[in-house]
Amino acid sequence: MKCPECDGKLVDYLYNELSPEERRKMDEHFKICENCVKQLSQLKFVHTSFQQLTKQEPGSLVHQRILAHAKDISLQERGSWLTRWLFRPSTATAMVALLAIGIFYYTQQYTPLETSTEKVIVKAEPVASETDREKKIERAPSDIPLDSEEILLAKAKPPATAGGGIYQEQQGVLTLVAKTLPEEKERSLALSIPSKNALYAFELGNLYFSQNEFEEAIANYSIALTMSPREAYTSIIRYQLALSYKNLNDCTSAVQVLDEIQKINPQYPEIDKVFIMAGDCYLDLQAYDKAEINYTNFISQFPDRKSQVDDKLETARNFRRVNLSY
Amino acid sequence: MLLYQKGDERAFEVIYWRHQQGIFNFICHFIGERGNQAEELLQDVFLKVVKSSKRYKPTAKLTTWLYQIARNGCIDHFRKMKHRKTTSLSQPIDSEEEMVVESTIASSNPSPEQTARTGEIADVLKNAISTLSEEQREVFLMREDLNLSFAEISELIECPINTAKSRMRYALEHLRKTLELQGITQSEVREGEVSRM
Repeated sequence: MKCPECDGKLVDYLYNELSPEERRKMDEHFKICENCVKQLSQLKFVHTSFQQLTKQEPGSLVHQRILAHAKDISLQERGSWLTRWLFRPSTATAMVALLAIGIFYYTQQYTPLETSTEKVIVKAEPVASETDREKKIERAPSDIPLDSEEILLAKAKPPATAGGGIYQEQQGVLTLVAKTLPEEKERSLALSIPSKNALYAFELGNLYFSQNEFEEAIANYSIALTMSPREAYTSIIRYQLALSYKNLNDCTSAVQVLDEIQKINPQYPEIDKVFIMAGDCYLDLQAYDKAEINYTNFISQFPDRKSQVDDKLETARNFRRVNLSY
Repeated sequence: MLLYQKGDERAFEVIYWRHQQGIFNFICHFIGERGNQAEELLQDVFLKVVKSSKRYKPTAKLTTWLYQIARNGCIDHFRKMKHRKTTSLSQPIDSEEEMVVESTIASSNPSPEQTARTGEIADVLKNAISTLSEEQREVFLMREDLNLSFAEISELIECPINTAKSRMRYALEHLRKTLELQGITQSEVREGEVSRM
């Protein structure tokens, strides 16, 4: 039986697509129309059942494969664009003309270095004796390597302009990471991390994290992880990733990441925090046995800090005992 | 997307991580499986994004453009499979092929009996989705998996908004009837989850 009051609007109501005024009217109508309530309830039933289906995830290697293919195609596309551009008649003519002009100026201005040095020195000291002049002419070529070395040294310094900004940013991240590592050996390892892109993504993640934009932080930490940074660094990124998930109350994802840290890098310097966070997340998920394991692991590795998790461990045990565990 | 067009490779990765899960779920539910074929389709979608990124114009909303590519990929795949196979997708999908659907109803602490039952409900629902018409299925999944509004859906599939809504209504009715025919009732959907709406 169709109700003229709300037929056609039930779907809008279900998916929150009505204006507040229309929604209020529908709510009023539901108080007097059992049929509409029943129909809405039936539609809700399907929607709720579907929303409870577990979200599908492709295999972890799939992400890497897709991103790598995308990069390849992107490079090819740009390469082919450059080739097409280079072989256009107008571009080719312009380049030949530029080349000709360049060669002309070069042949007009270029003078061999030894000759020019000799001339300058001779002109600078016209009154010098013949012997002195000969000495200076002999010395001149030996000055050239010194100048070259200076040029090389100058080039080796980081640029102070825009490029220098990026360099400094990355140095900043390196220092940040290095500070979190207690051992000198690990600090130097972190400082030798080659993957600057991974660092950059990690830094962006930290920036978003500090502004409480955890979804963006997660995206950036995930990108950093796909760039295969060194192992010491991976765990730090994973920890930040887990923390971001936890801040979004996504404990299921958080514990997956924390379990990975424990499995892959049990020597992680901040493993104590990993155990506690994993325990807390499992408590939230009512997985009391796993929460208990994490707190127990924490106590076994840090017995002097037992009091930090005593209450939580007791809670987990009590719930598990009364068979409320999952 | 504009950043990616200008050569910022990282912009693509951001787009990828933001949308891959929604699109992957849409693909899995649309074609009725989550194995290699769904992963290959996901790859096809994003590689197509890379290849046609030059043609993207900011006048179109990125999600609309992206989901259009995903939708077309699914429809092409689905039609190809229809030609190859004469067997209906409505037959049980837990056969020996790669059609195993591992999804279960999400639950944080189900008993073994509950798990078995919720797995059963998931299978029934997935089978029911595969029996929807192509038009109803795409509207239903765009709304449920991609969380698009009816206005966005109507723009994407190029139909009036009321048509999109009525397709949704028919899809919901069809699924409800199928669930009820299989003996699945509203009381089996946990209260906690219902209130999430």
